[in-house]
Amino acid sequence: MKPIEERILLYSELSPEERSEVDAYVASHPELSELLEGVRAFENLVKEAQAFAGQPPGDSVLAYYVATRLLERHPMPEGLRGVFARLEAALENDAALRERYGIFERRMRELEAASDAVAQFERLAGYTLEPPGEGERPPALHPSKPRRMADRASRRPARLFRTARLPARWAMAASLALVALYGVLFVISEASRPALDRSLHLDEDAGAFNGLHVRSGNGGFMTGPADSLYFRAMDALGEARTSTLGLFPHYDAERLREAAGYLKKVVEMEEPNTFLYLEAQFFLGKIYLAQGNLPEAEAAFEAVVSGQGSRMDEAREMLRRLRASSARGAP
Amino acid sequence: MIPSQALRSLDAVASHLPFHLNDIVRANEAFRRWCEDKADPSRRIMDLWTYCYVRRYYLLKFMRDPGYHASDFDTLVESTYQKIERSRDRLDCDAPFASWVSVICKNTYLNYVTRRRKHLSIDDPDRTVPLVYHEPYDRGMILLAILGAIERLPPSLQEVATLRFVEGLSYPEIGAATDKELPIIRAYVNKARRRLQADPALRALMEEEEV
Repeated sequence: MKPIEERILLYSELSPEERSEVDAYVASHPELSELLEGVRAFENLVKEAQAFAGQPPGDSVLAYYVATRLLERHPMPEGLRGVFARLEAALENDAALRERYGIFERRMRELEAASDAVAQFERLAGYTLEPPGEGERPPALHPSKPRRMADRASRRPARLFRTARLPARWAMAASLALVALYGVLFVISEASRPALDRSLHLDEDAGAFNGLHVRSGNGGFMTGPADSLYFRAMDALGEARTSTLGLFPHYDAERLREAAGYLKKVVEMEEPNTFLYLEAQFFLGKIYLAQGNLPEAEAAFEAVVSGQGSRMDEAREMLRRLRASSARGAP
Repeated sequence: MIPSQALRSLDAVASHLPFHLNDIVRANEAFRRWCEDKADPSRRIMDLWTYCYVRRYYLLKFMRDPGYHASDFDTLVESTYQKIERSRDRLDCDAPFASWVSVICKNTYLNYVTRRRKHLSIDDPDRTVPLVYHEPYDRGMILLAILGAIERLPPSLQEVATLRFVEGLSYPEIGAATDKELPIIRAYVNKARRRLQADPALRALMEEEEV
C-alpha cells in the first residue's frame, strides 16, 4: 500500500493540518477520491453509532426504545440490551427525560391509532395473517380467502360430532352443554353489572403494569418514594378483583381503599402534570368510579385529560361514559 | 414505567416474525434463503421483516415531531415497501439485505423531507415554516451492524475495536482499560479500521445509491 493511501485510511486520526494536506493531495489526484470518501463515510457511521450509544441519551435512542420495547416476543440482540439498560438507568434519575419519553410514546400511539398495520401489510403483501404460532415456526400466511376459511371452520364441529362414536358423542354433548351453561351465566353476570363497572378493567391495567415491572428487571426505572407507593397501589389493585370462574366479579372494598390511599400520597408528592401524577390520577379516577364516587372520578379523569397524560384518550372515554351514565340517572 | 399499548398495531405483525425485528443477521439469512429457493415460506418471513422494519423506521421519525403530517405516514410506509419489493430481485443472494433496506428508507425519508420542507403554520396559515429534519440514518441498525462487523474481526482485535469505535474511548483510555501499550493499541485500531471499512454490511450502509 502506498504511503498516501495509508494516510487516507487513517484520515480521522490525523491532525487538522495533516488532513488539509491529504485533502489537497486528493484534490489533485481524483483517483484517490473514492478511497477518501469511503473513509469519511465509515467515520460518519461510527459517529452515528456513538451518538446512539453515548451518554447522555439523545432523542434517537429514546425514540428507538419507545418503538422497540414491546417487541419482546424474541430475545433482543445483545448490542441493544446494554444501550437500553443505560437508558433505563438515566430515566430513573432524569424527570425531563421521562417527560420526553411520555411525549414520544403519546405521539407514537396517535400514529398507530390512525393506521392499521395488519390491514396495510396484508394489502401490500397480498395474503392474510393468522394468529402467530409459537417459537420458531414460520408464520402461517395464506392467500386472502377469509370467508371460505371461516365457513370451513364453522362446519368442522358438526362434522366431528356426526363421525364420532356413541360414548364420544355423549362426552361431546356434555361438554357443549357445559360451555352453553357457562355462556348463559357469563351473560347474566355481565348484565348484572352496571355499565360503568364493566369498563373499569382495574385488575387488567394493574396486571399489565406488574408484568412490565417484572420484565424491566431491578425495579425498572421507577424507584423513588412516590414510585414505590405507586407500585404498592398497583399490587393492591391487581388483587382487588375477585370472581368465581370469571363470573359475577366484584372489587374488594378494602383493597380499593388501600390502593386509593397510596395513589393519593403519590398525587401529593408529585408535581402536577408530571408523568406519575397523571398516572396516579387516572387510577384514582377508576377507583372512585368503582366506589360510586362519581364527582371525584370525574375530577380525576379531567386532571388526566387537561394534563395530557399518556392515558388521556382512555380518560376522555371514561369521562364520556361517566357523563352519559349520569345523564341517564344511574351509575 | 406504565405499559404502552402504542405498538399494538405494529406488534400484531411483528409477532409473526420468527426472530426479533432488530436481529439483522437473521433478516439477512431470511433474504438469502428466499433468494436461493424463491419459496413462499421464505418470502413471507422476508416480507414481514421488511414491512415491520420500514414501519418502525418512519415511526421513529414521526414520533419525534408533531410537524410531520400523520396522513403522510401510511403513504411513506407503503411507497418504501413497494420500492423494496420492486428492487430486491436485483440483489445478490449474499447481499446485506437489512443494510440495503435501511439505505432505501434513509433515501426515501430524505426525499420526503426535501419535498415537504415547508408546511403551513397553525398560528398563521399564510406563513410557512421549515419541516424539522432528523438524522436520516437508523442509528440502532448502524450500531448493530458495527457490532456484527466487530464480531467478524480476529478475536485479538475485537476488544480494542469495541472500545474505540463503539464506546468512543481515546487511546490512553483504551490503554488503561486493556493494559496495553499505546503503540500496540494504535496498531490494533488501525488494523481493525481497515477491516471494518471493507466489511460488506458496513459498506452497504455507506452506499448512497439504492441499487
